[in-house]
Amino acid sequence: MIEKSRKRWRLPNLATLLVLLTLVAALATPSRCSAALAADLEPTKARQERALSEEYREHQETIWIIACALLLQSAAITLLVKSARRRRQADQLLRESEERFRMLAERSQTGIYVVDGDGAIRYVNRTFAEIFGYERDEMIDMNFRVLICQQDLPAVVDSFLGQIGGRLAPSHSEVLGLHRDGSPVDLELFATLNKSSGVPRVIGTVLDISARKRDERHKEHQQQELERLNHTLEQRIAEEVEQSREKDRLMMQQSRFAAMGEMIGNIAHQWRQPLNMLGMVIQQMQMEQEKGHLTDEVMELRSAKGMELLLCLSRTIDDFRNFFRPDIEPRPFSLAKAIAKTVEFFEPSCSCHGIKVTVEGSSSLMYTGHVNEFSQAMLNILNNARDALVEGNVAHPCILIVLHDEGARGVVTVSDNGGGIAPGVIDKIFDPYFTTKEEGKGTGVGLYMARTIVERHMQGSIRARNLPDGAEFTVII
Amino acid sequence: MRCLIVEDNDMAREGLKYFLADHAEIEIAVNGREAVTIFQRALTEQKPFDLVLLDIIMPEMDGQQALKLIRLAEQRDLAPERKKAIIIMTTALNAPENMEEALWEGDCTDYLVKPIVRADLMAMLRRYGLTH
Repeated sequence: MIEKSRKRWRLPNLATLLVLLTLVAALATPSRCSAALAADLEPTKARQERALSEEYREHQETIWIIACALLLQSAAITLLVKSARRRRQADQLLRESEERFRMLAERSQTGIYVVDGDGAIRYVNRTFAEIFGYERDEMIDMNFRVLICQQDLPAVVDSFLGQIGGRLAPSHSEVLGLHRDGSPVDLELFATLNKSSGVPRVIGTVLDISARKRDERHKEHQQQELERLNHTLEQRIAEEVEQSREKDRLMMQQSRFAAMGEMIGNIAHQWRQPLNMLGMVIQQMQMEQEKGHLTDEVMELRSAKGMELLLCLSRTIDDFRNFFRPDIEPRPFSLAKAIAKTVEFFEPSCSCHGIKVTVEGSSSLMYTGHVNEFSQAMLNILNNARDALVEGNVAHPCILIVLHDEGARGVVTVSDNGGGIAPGVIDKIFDPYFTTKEEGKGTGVGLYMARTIVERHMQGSIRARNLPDGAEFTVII
Repeated sequence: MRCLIVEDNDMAREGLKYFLADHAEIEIAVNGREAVTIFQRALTEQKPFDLVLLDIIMPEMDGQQALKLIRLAEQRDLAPERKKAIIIMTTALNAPENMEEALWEGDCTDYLVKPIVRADLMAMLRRYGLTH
């Protein structure tokens, strides 16, 4: 409107200015001034002729001035006409523009509103009315507050007052609107101050984002569900892993008990010999005393022998306990020494069956780990070989243990001449609870535990294969 | 009474020898193979053993194998009137299944579990009429 009024006043002023300028130019013509001065100085005839000539010139000048004025007036009129035409054209463009914008507003899929400073609605488009479930006419003069849910109302009112007061920049927010039927409507609200009508008003747009919000909530719900499932899955996996660990612990315990049972048999044998000898010494002393043969020297000899046997028994207990005591901290140990110690415990259980146990080769490997655990793994492999030989009633049973190093790793092979593993089961021998032994004789734990210890606890490897006359187990650590 | 003590442990061997010194003429073997050789030679020399104390777990040849060979040697001996030797197995393994196997398959007379108590041994010998 300001632009329009400025144009209306500018064109007439310009035309008037042109007319005035023409008149001033005519009055200030230099030829007319100089002719008046010269008239007092010249003779009559000449003056008459000159007067005629001057009159003629004056007419000529007057005609010229009038022509100029007319020309200028014509130009001014032309300008006025042109400016009026331009004004009409501008008005037309404005009307068209307003019409376009009105059409756009009316047909827009976005809700458009104008609210007075007191909160009364001045204008809404069709979409705006539809969002809230009203007729457009019903909404005019309605206070916008009734369209906002209680929970978001304070924030929206604050924003509105901030806009009206010119304190806040145009705002953009998501609020919960209130449908005519009382149901909440998710809205994206844009508001800005407008003073074009002379009074401050808030105009803006409203988008119904209920569908988008529903999708977001749905996705959020799905995400939460997924997270819950993930969490549950993690929990289940953790439980399964824990159960698996517990199973391994139980199997390790079973394996240890089984090995202890074996070892108790060995210890019984190792103890019975010295016990028998001790018994012999004591009974012999008694007989010697009865026969009067128990001299001081004999007594001293028998006592020394008796004590030697007692200490031997004590050492056996220590060895037994140390062998089966779980290692708490990993420590460096010699592979060769660990094998030698294991064979020392294992051999008695073979000698009573006539099984020859031989250790060949050497290893300089020092491995940091749990030596007793490793010994137990090796003992399980050796026990397996021995049992195969005893069950097979092999003619010249023997177990060969060979040590060697491969780079930074130590390799132990245990082979026997017990006939080997049946081809159908060679892949299953390391499975838990798998056994080919008679019921009650095998637990199916030994080789499984050997593999668990070597592969999981020591990051080594264990494998089995058949040789022409028996089986061979290879352990690499 | 002639007695063969078969035992690889020297102290156990000496103890048994001392226990029976007053009751028997004693010979010693330190493993199963030696025991079979001595037993066969005694048969050949017509000086058979009345009693064999035979340890089970021994190097080279164990007691069970020796027992079978000793009984086989007795069967081959051409003196049917001669009584079979009393063979008492001595073992550190207190496992009844081992004893059953020895009794049924190897035909031993009886067994003693180590540590051997002299009184038990003497009672056993009396039971089989070897001492009074």
